[in-house]
Amino acid sequence: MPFMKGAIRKDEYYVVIFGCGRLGSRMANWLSTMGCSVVVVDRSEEAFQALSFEFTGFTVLGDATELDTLKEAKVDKADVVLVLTPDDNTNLMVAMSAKEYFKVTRVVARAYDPNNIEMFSDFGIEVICPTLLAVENIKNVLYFIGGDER
Amino acid sequence: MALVYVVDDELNVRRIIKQTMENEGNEVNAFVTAEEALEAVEKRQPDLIFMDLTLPSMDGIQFLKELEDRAYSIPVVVVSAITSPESIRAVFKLGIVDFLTKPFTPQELRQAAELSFKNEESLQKRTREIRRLIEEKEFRKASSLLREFFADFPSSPYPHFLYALLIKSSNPRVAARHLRAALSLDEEFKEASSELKKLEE
Repeated sequence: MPFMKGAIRKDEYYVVIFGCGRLGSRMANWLSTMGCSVVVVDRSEEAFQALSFEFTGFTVLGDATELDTLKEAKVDKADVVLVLTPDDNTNLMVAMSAKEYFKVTRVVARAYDPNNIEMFSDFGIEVICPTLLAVENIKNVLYFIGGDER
Repeated sequence: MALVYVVDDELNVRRIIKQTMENEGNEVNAFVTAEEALEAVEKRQPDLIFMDLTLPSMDGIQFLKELEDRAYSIPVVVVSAITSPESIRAVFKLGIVDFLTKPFTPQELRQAAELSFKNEESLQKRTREIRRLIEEKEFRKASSLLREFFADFPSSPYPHFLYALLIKSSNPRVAARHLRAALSLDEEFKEASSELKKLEE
C-alpha cells in the first residue's frame, strides 16, 4: 500500500499522533525532521517535554477519547493518524473514530495484546503489536537454538 | 515569487509557515514581534503577512490597526489558537483576508495564500478594467461590472470611487457622496480626495 493518498507533496503530509510517550514523541520528532506537519495530542502537558528541539509541529492538550479533542487536532484533515497511547481500549476507540467518523484514509494503532489485533483489523485499522515484534526479534536473536546451523 | 512575512512568537509556527511558503517558491521573512514586522514593512512592503493574534507587547489587533493607520493595504492572514467569534469578527472588520485556527495544515496555508493573491490581483485588474470602460464611455458595461465589484469587495474604497467617476457628470451630488464613502474607507485615497475637491468647486 502506498504511504499516502493522492498527490500531496511528500513534505506536506498532515499527521496526527495520539499519545506523546516514548514511542509517540519519537515518531513526532522523526516525522517533523522529515518535513511533515505534525500534531501531537496528549492529556498530560508534561508529556510534551519529550519532544525535541527539531519538533516543528503543534501540541494539543486534551483527552483523546473526547470528540472535541479530535476536532481540535483537525483529524478530519489528516493524511495519517497514529494512535499510540498505552491503552488498547483507548487506541481502538480513537482509531475507530478517526476511521469511521472522520474518514481518515490511513490509521495506524498500537495494540499491546495480540488477541486484540483482529478487532482493530476488522475496522481497517493497521496494527503495530510490540509483543509480536518482540517475539519475532527474540526468535531472530535465538536462531541458533535449533542447532541446525552446526 | 511573492514576499511573505510571518509574525508569530512560536518557533514551530514560524518554521511551518516558512517551509510551506518557501516550497511554493516565495521569499519568507519571519518575525517574533509585531514591532519588528512593522519596521520591516516600512523598509520593504510584503505581498502577504501571516500573523498571530497573541504576540508579546503589541498584539495582532494593534498591529492591524497600525497597518491601517500607516495606510498600507497588505493582505493579512491571521493564524491563531483564539477562536472566539468576537475576536474573529474584530479582525475581519480590520480587513483580513482569512483566519486559520491552530493547528493548521500546509494545504490550508497554501489555500489562504492563494486566496489573498487572487483577491489582490482581481481587485487591481477589475479596477483597471472598469476605469477603461468609463474612459471609453462604455457606461452600461461599466455599470454592470461595478455592481459585481461592489458585491465582491464591499469594504474596498475602489467600487465607490469608480461609481463616482461613472456618475459624476449626470449626478454630481451622489458622486460626491460615494467619494466621501471611499475616503472614509481609506483616508489616504488621493485620487478620491482630488475628485471630491473638483466636484465641490
